[in-house]
Amino acid sequence: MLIGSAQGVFSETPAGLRIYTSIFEGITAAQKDHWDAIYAVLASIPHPRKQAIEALHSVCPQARIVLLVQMAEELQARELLDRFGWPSDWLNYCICPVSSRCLTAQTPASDDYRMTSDDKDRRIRELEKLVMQDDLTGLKNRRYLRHFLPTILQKADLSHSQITVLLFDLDDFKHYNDTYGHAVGDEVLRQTARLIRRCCRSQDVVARLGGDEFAVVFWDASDAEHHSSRKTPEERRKSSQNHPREPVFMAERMRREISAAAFDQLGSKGKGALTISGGLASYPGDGRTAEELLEKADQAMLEAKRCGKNRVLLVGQSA
Amino acid sequence: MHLDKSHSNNGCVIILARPADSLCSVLPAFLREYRFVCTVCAHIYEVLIQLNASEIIRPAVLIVRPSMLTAESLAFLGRQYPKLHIIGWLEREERLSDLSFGSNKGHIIPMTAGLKQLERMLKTLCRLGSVQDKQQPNEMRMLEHTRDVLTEQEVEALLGAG
Repeated sequence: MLIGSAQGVFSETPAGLRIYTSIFEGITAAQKDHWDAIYAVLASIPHPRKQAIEALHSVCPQARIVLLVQMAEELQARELLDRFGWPSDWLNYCICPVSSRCLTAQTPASDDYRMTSDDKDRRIRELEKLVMQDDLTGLKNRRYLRHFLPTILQKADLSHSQITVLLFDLDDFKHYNDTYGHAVGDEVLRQTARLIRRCCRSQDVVARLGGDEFAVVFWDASDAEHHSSRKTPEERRKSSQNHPREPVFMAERMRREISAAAFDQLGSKGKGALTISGGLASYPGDGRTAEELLEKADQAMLEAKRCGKNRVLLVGQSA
Repeated sequence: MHLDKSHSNNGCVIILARPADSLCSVLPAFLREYRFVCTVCAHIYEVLIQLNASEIIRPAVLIVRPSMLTAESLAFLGRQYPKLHIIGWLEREERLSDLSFGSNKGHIIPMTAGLKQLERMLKTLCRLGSVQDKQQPNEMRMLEHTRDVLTEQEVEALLGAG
């Protein structure tokens, strides 16, 4: 069964799936009939969501419950699932859009393709991970960012909240790569990824775009979700005259951490050897689309390079 | 939390109110007298499970702090359980119209937090077995639409001596 609207959830129209528009109908149906799998659109579950899922599980303990989430809701889904000791056998999530064939999976296995439904689900999750994750650093990849950024900008538009994008790369990384070899270069990138992650908040999206280029999207989960905390256009206009302080502070902290870190792979000169140059662009002040923001952040990053590297500049700022 | 379990009961009263201490201290005793099961739920989903489970237990009354319901959940209860009596357990200064239930407000019988008043109403409902038919206390329902809360005197007049 599916709880919630199928719109925007599937890559193709599902067949043979019972749809219940509200969680209340879903719980009632789950209590009456035997279900092997319950797919619930996260946005259709009102708060308190934990109790709703507990209720579903209690009336239909044999069913696997899969939350269908939009990319921008992934963090919320993970936090929710963590409260159930995720990963668990009965509860998981999928990022939309999903293939309806993956959900229903009712067709009998052919002789040469004997995978259980669980196997298939696991494979699908592994594939999703591969598609959206950078396998060297474990960060999100460019593809993920390309999907995530427009989604979160739409939400920011509704809630009148701000989004800030940081683009940066490692100064003279090519030199280190050529001198110490690719294995060392890869380890440097992994360590850099760990350092960046440590400097960010849990909701911030950190991605490796390729080579030594990284991006961070600073956003406020509560602003984007709860329109009650929305800023008026006037408030946003005023605050966008200055860049949000928190991302600027975090980007600067990131730069300091990396420039002070000891990269043991680079030998005795490893401490303080690496620096970053980056550019910060904010929505809506610096751009209204993902492309505009990335382009503006890129320009600011180039300016930082021109100004002598080892710095993070805002759009339009010069050293 | 189940306060009383009886398989040979006449109906059930479900409480969704926080804190529910005052209700729990009074209700089970006289509900037992009328062989009604009394259940306390922590949230709307528990209420739902309870209602679905007790579908065969004929009449049901839900005593609820309206702030613990959403318009969506109230609409669903009204639609799915047309015979369910929903008593809105309001604080003295609270008004049903302050909550955004829209047209679904009509599903709720508002009542200020006065145990005596509630007890009297429930006793009557239990005695009449009228909880099977929401339309029985006609006068009472007419009043609900014109005003949020029944006064003590009005309840007495409508239901007679407890």
